[in-house]
Amino acid sequence: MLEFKKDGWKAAIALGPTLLLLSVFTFYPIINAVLMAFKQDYVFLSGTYNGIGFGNFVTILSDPKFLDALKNTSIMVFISVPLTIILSLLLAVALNSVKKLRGFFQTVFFLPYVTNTIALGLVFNVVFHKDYGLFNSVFGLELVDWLGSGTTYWRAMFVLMVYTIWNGLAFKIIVLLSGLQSIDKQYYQAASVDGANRKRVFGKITVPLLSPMILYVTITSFIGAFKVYTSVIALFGKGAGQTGAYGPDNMLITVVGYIYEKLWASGTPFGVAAAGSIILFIIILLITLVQFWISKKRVHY
Amino acid sequence: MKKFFIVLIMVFGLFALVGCGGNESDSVFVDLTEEVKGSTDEVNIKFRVPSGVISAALPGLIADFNQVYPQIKVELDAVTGGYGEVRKTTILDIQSDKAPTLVLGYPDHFAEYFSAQTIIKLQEYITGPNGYNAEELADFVESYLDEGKNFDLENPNDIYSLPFNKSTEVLIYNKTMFDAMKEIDSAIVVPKTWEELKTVSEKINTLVENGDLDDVITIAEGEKKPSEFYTEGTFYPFAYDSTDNAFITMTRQRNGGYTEKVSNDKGYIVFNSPENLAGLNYFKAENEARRFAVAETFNESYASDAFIALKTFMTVGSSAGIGYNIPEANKFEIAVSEVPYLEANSDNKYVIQQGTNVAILAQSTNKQRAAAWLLLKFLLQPEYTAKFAMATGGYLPVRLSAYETTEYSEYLVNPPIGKEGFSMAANVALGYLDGGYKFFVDPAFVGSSGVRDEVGAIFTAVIVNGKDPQERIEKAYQTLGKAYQKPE
Amino acid sequence: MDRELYFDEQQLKKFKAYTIVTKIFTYTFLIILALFIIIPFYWMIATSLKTTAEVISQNISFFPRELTFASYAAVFERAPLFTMYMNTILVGFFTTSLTIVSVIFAAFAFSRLKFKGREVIFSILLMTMMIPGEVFVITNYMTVNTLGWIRVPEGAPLHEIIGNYAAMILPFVGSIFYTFFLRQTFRQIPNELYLAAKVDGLGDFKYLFKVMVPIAKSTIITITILSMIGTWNAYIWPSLVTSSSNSALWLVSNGLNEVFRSTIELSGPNSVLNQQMAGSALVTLPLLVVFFLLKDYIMKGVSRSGIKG
Repeated sequence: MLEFKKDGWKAAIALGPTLLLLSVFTFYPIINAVLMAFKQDYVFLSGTYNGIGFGNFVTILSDPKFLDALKNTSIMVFISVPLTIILSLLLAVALNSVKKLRGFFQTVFFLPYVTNTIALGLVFNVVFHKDYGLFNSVFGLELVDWLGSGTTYWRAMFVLMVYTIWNGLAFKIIVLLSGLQSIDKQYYQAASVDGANRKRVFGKITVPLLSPMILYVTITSFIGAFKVYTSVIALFGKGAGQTGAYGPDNMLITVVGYIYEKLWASGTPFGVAAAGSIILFIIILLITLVQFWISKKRVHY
Repeated sequence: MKKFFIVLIMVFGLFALVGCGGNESDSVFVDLTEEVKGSTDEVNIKFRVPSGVISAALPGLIADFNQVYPQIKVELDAVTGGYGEVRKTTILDIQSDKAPTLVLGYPDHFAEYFSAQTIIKLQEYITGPNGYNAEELADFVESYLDEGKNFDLENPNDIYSLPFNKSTEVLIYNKTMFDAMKEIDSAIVVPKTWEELKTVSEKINTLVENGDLDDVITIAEGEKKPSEFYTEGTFYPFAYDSTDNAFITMTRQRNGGYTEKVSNDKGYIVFNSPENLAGLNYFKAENEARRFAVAETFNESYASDAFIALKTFMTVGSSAGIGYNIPEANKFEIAVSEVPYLEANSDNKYVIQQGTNVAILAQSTNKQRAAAWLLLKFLLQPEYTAKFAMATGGYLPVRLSAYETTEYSEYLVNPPIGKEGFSMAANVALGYLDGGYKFFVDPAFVGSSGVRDEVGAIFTAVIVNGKDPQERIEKAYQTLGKAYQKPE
Repeated sequence: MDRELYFDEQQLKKFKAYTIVTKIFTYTFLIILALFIIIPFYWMIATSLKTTAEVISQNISFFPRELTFASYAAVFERAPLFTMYMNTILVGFFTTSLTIVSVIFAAFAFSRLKFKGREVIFSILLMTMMIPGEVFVITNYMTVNTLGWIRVPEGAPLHEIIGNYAAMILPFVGSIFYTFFLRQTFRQIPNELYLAAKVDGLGDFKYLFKVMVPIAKSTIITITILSMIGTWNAYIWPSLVTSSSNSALWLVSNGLNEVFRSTIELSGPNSVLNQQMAGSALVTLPLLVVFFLLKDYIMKGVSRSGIKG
């Protein structure tokens, strides 16, 4: 097959620079992360370590701070992601059914996508301010501390979830809306001939036909939400690496936050941080696989 | 299109050039101080410090140094972001061959550097032709010098770092308020013990609640009066700025134990004791009775902010930080006193010793190391450590004879404008030694700063977030991990 | 359409009423949620225009009583905004150009060229997309440090500064997501075009640039826009890689964070809320303006990237 050989060269040229960059910044890091994760007591400063083993993983899994981080991240993800998806599905359907002002609403709902996480985090910080915040005024709450040192776990978590939902609607609405618009009208026509009412149309036609889109949105949302980090830093406004960056007593530390904290801890245990990132990967992989498995029954192509 | 590619490739090529040209270093140590002193060959060294009062004070002193040694060029590398950034940048630089010659740091930073064999054994210079004799060594404040020892287990007296900017904690109080309060109730004095603080705080609260002190100090539009803070629940008579120090000092005063150093790389945590538990419960109760607070209680990063705002009348803070407690336009006068001790345990009048030390990094040539040593010797002369202390304000000279120089004695008695607060703090610090107080420092080991952060978090969690002390201590033990637990 | 099935007057009226009620509900729902989205933006701008006294006054004002641009002036003084904008644009420009180039070639290779192991290699690349960035960050941080490309101090020689930019640009140039996205578009180009070009004697690479790229123009534009937005919003990596002392290299996100952290430390958290908002506005508004100009491209592009998935 002459074609194969000929293209082999061209492919090498075409892919060359990309593969070079990928090797340095993607493949090598993966291998290195795995290596470092297994180098017990790896110290970045000296490059020394204490043999190969699961030591770093044990350290992480037996650290209550990590378990806290895992708990925080999970709560955030498993509550806010479903809420966001449901809300965006409803909004997409609503948008799809109105002709007037659809463009206007679409634009509005898409705005958070083009905003800067840090900048908007600071805005929420101000909106939920204890003394001068908008939220407290509108709801008549006096001096409720949402993000300051007097906050409670659930209050801070509430703000984080509101922020995450606020940020997350844009992408999902757009994807679901274009999915809705691409559903062949014939299905709806057939349904109305059969005399189906709206609810049934929605449940038996819309959702199933939309299911690949919903699956895509769900998977990407879970993956993205699990990596929550910048939002927390932005909300508490203290800057990465500062005390209280994740709230008083670091109450809202997340898995990614935990990893970054480990980097510069005394003794520069980069190995532990690397192990943490691998654990994060495994968690995300598991969640995604579970979703795929569930989707086998529900998603129709 | 083609031109675009050519440019891109050229840019790529440029990148390849970067990253060449790192530091040279000599693997074998030789004391070249005589050679550097005698030669006019230029030597370039870099001194890394945090940006702030230190980086402001040093250039003048370095200029004097250059009068004696014009051939030694000192580059002052001021890093923003505090000692944390200094450590981070130094570690990264060591890895990329860009390390400075001299660096300031906390003892546990140096424990890390020592562990990776990246600092020079200063002992070699001390015993060399341009070192210190026994008399000179004895002139250093002993506890300061001790921090530079105990790195190498086999030679515990070998010095690897020298003290540079040391400080301690003091009690800063609102003199204007106290004078006014004394008029009303003569029993209100600046407390010397925790027990005294209890009674005094109670009395202060009563006066504040009644609004008796609202007009003592004129405040600006929009600012609140003490009684308003009290009604809001944000007034506390006393605040301890650093929760780490609060916890650690408490362990000393109550004999509850904190850490035990085993070697440079290892140490145990031993703060899970009934004495410490009692201490935490004590402060928790005091906080609930509205007599004791920490910076986070006011939702501030520093108690000094609360102090200036009149949310508190007394704060315990670093002698180097007095400047932050001075209000704008001299709204009120401040004065300095000693940190409270425990009457019940009056043998343990402990005050923490703080501040950083200096070391020479090994990623350097012998000439650079020698030049760095000469700089250190110069800056640590009694005259100059006094000058440094006076220029920076809140740090203390590290040589005992510095206290006797005319300049410094004058400073203690007759400080220049703007330095009154610092001078008061220095007087109190000096007074500690005469007054039966003891400086203490917990020997550093790799990881000890993590322990410090954790106990600070314990204190905050207990006082501000109402967590149960025993639980929080146990959680800290788990977080720090098995490596720190003493085997039974 | 449905109306044709309802001949009865009464049923027609019921149907009309039903429709109107649903429409009202729908619009209300949309409006409430639109408000939810807009309020933070409004609050940001309103607060940024208030005087400090008004911001910290006891009675909150929904509309600024006094309009002042003082906060903006203060932020301009405190933060090297112009530098931050320029840096972000510069880094974005280079990242995007290099990315486009590499992605065009790579997508071409994976869609049009035939070579051994093509699908296997591509699947492996796809799998790496699932790996969270943190896995890469640690090592990349170490790599760029060894190369001397990070935390370049003020007044450093030009080649070091270029290195620092390189650190912010290069790790992102090899983007698998964009390669995948463009490959999808390329694949839709009918084979006939290729064969016709072959007949005309067009070489493969010429075909790529003369035929495929123009056809895929809108996808490429989408990638450009998304990549620029990505740089504008980047935080973690730039903050790791630039020094907090050298503001000359700050990008927009980490610069904003640095400035506000130190501002809050200096003057207490409560007194600079309006400056905080002015800072946020200055960082958010440029992108919003660009968005409004290009919104159709952006929204279409994002939705397409979803469908192909």
